[in-house]
Parts: sequence; C-alpha cells; structure tokens
Amino acid sequence: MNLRLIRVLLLKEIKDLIWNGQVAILFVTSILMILVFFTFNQLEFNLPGHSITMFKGIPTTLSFIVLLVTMYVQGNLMVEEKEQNTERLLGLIKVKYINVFISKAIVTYILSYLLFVLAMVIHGYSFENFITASFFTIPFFLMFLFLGTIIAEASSNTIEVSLYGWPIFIVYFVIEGLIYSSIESRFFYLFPNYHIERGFSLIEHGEFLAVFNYIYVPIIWMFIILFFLKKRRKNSKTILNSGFS
Amino acid sequence: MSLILKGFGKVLKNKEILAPINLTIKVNEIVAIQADMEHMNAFLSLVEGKRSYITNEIMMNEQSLQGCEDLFIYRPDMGEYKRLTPEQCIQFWCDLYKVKINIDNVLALTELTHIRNKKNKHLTFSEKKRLQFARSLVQNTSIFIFQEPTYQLDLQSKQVFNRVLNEILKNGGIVIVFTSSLEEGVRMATKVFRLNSRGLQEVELGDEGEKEAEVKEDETDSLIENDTVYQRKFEKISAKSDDKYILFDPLEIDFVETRERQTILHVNNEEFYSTVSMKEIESKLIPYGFYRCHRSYLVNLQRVREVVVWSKNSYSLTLDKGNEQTVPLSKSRYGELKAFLNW
Repeated sequence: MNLRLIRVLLLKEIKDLIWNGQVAILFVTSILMILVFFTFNQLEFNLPGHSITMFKGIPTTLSFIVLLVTMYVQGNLMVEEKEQNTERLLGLIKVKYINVFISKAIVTYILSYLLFVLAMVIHGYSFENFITASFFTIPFFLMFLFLGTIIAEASSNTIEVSLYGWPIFIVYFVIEGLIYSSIESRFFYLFPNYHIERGFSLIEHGEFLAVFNYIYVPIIWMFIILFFLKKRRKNSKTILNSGFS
Repeated sequence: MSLILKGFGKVLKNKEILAPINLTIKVNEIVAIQADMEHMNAFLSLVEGKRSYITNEIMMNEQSLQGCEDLFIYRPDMGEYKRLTPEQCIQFWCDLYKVKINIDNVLALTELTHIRNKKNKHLTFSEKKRLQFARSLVQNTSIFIFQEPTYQLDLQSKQVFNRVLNEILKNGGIVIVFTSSLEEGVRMATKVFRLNSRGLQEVELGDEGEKEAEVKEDETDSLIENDTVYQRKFEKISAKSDDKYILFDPLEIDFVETRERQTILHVNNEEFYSTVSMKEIESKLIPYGFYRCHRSYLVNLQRVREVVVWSKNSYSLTLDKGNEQTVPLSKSRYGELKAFLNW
C-alpha cells in the first residue's frame, strides 16, 4: 500500500467522477428511492388482526444503496481502467492493484455513506443511532465493495458489470422478501439481510451494545467474498500487479 | 551513456519467439526498428516483463535496470481517462511520476493548448495521440520506446511527434521507435533496423553507404553492359505475380522500393515484386520523370504532391491524394531535387 499513490489516484477519481453520468444516474436514482421508501414506509394498512407496513424502513433502503451504489459504482469504476485501457500505464509503473482498489473504494464508500446518512436523517435517527448504525454497517458496505470488484474482474466493460450485477440484485431482494415475510426458518440466519434487519431493530430500540451480536454474520460474508476476490485476482491476467499485499 | 541489449530474446517451448538481439544505442540516438506486429509485441512484452532485467539482458551504462518503470513505453492501445481534460491528465501524470514541470510548455509543445479544457472523449484520434506523446515529456527517464507512434496520424501530429523527439534528444534521451513502415523509420531515425524471425539487421542509410552501394551496382552493371552489345528499346517494367509476369506502363508506377534485396513496384497501393534490379529500373524510368530520392526509393515525380520538411535532416515526399503514401527523401538529395523542381 502506497499512501502517496492512493492520494494521487483518489484526486484523479474525484475529478473524473464529477462528469461520470452513470454514477450520477445511480446516485440520483438512489435519492429518489430513499424518498419513495420513506413515503411508503409511512403508510400502514390495517387488516383484521394484522398491521402491514410497506418496506422495512432503513434496512430496505440500505440494501438498495449497497446494491445500486456500492456494488455498481465500485464495479463501474474498477472496470473502467480495463475498458479505457488506462490500467496498462498503471501496470507499467508498478502501481499495485490494492492502491487502485482503495482509491476507488474510498470514493464509492463516501457516495454510499452520504446516501445512507441522508436516509437516516429522513427516517429521523438520533445521533446515537446514527453512530451505531455507521459502525454496524461497515462490514456490510465492505462486502458489497468486494462484490463490485469481483464483478469488475469478471467483466470487460461497464455494460457487462450491469449485466452481471442483476442476478445478484434479484437474488438478494428475493432473500430479503423471504426474510421479511411471515415464514420463519433458521436457514435465514445464514444471510446478512436477516442480521442487518435485526441489528437495525435493536438500534431503533436503543439497544446499542446488543446490536453488535448481529455483526458477525456480515463480517463472515465479507471475508468469504474477499476470499473469492483474492482467488479471482490470482487467476487474473490483467496488467496491474496482482495481490492484495 | 548507452543502452545495451545483450542476447535479448525469447524462446517458448520449441519456438523462437524473438531471435537474440545484440544492440547498443548511444545517447541522443533515435533507432527505428521496422517489424511486424508479432515481433514488435514479442520485443515489448519482454521489455515489460521482469526476466530481461534480472538476467541483465537490458543494461544502461553497464548497470542493470530495475524494470520497465525505468523506461518510457508508448503503446498505440494505451488509453486515456475519457472524462479528464488534457491538462488534468498531464497533471495526473506529473503526480504519478513525482515530477514538477511547466504544464503550459508541455501543452504548447504538443499543440494541445487550445483544447486543454476539452474532455478527452471529445478529442480527435490525432489529438489523443499527441496527449500520449506529452507523457514522454513528463516521465523522468532517458530511455523512450514508442510503438507505431505515427500510424494513421495527421501531418500536424507527425510534426508534433518530431518536436517531441527533438526535445527528448535535447535532454539526452535514447529513443527506440517501432514501426511497420520502413519509410517512417527512415524519416525519423538516425539508425534503422529490421526485426524479423532472423533477428535484427541494420538497414544501411547513410550517404557513404549509398555511394558504396551505387559503386557496387555500377560495377555489376558494367559487367552486364560488356556482355550486352546491342541496345534494347524499352517500354514496360515487368513484375512477377504468382505464376505470371505483369508488364507495367512506366507511368502507372507510383514508386519503386528495394526491400530485403528485392525490388518492389508500388502501383495503386499494391506491391509487385519486380524481376529486375533497382539500378536497371532507374536507368529505364528516369526518362519518364522518375527520381532516385533515396538509396532504396525511386519515385515518380508526377505523383509527388508535397515535399515535407520534418527537420534539418529529415524530409519526405507525399504522393497524390487518393494514394497519400510517403517516400523518404535523403538529406543529400533534397538540395538536388529542390534545384531540379525549381521551387
């Protein structure tokens, strides 16, 4: 890891991002979705013996942000080096992959976090809720940063990133739908969605320390995806120096 | 100071990918290597790899180099960040290479000043290439390798490239230019080599070599003349194509070139291998308005549209529109042609 290089690459990324139409569309769409989710979340339907709330407030919004922004933006930014053939120069001057990854991940994380903050403000989170939620979601955000990077590794352009991202998007929301349904199964404990939903329930009830009981599964998922990313990098034939050293 | 390539080559399984190269390039020297894509890429991938540096196949002043980060390498497929401007791109390279230079000067030298704030994706092909050339003025190194730098470039950008080369030489650089066009190589370089499966061979360029070769050709011709006592009336130039001979009207021919000891007729962008020597063709074609502009080239002056002066020592002739091929013009022939055409 080279801090000077990361700073240089980050500066370039910020200049480049200002005019990045794809990222702008994803960002604006996410803002709209945050508002839509919030509006629907306020509606409540009362049926005999049941009270139905549409969407699970912050957990659903967060899922949408990590998929649409964290995963896709990271995937797009990473694949662009390949698509524009700019990675050749970086490879020639021995810029390590980890430096490129970190510079892009910082930009993606900031964008995702800004949206998450906006969602928390709209949903009326207190400062304590806000701080706890920020720490609690770190492995979740990292997991999707790694996932976006894996997609970029498998793709050769931004179109392919969009294409490969969709199955993940659909599967994730199907699982989320099952978890939020009335079906109860221990099988759901395996998925990060369940733990994120549980964690946010505790944050909303002010049980800040208990929240971190639900951080382990997202951390395990984060490491599983990191393992696959490292494996993918080992077999990668891209010009940038391989390895997350 | 010199760059030394010693036994620089590669064998893969039972196939020789690149025959061993032994070459010394001195400072302020531009070496052009004419090669096909396969050999160019084999050479460049070796330069970009680690092995040659570990085994001391590439050395600078008898000292081994660390790796390709010590070299400037230009490949035609190198891209640029499409949403950055040329100015931001150069600033990024300066930060990347840890150098401080006057960006305005670099932009002016590469004629990018007027588009300094235009996004790279809106630049033309030639402007993008000029931006890549600007990188060579940023990187702090003395070895510069360019692959096909002038391929499909406009005249303005070729002149910019010439200026960039002069700037590199001014700072004591060593330049290797890979090109598929021998004419371009002759125009740009002080030494020209040909790289193929047999290895690296030097193409003789200098006026001395030219004179020597002419003397040799004269000797051969005098022997022929001694045997041939009758005078032949001549109207056609013959070339062999597969199993037939094609007879060309002299004025159909754009120019004649000698390559690897073979005489090639260029007719309407097509190449035909002639059965007679350059000297013989020259004597036949001079009455038809042909001119020996270079040791290896005989050009039809009726086809010449432009005489391009690249620098004090580098000239070329551009043929008519619809053809637009370039033919090198020797330094020694420039004055003669100027007087001959009276411009």
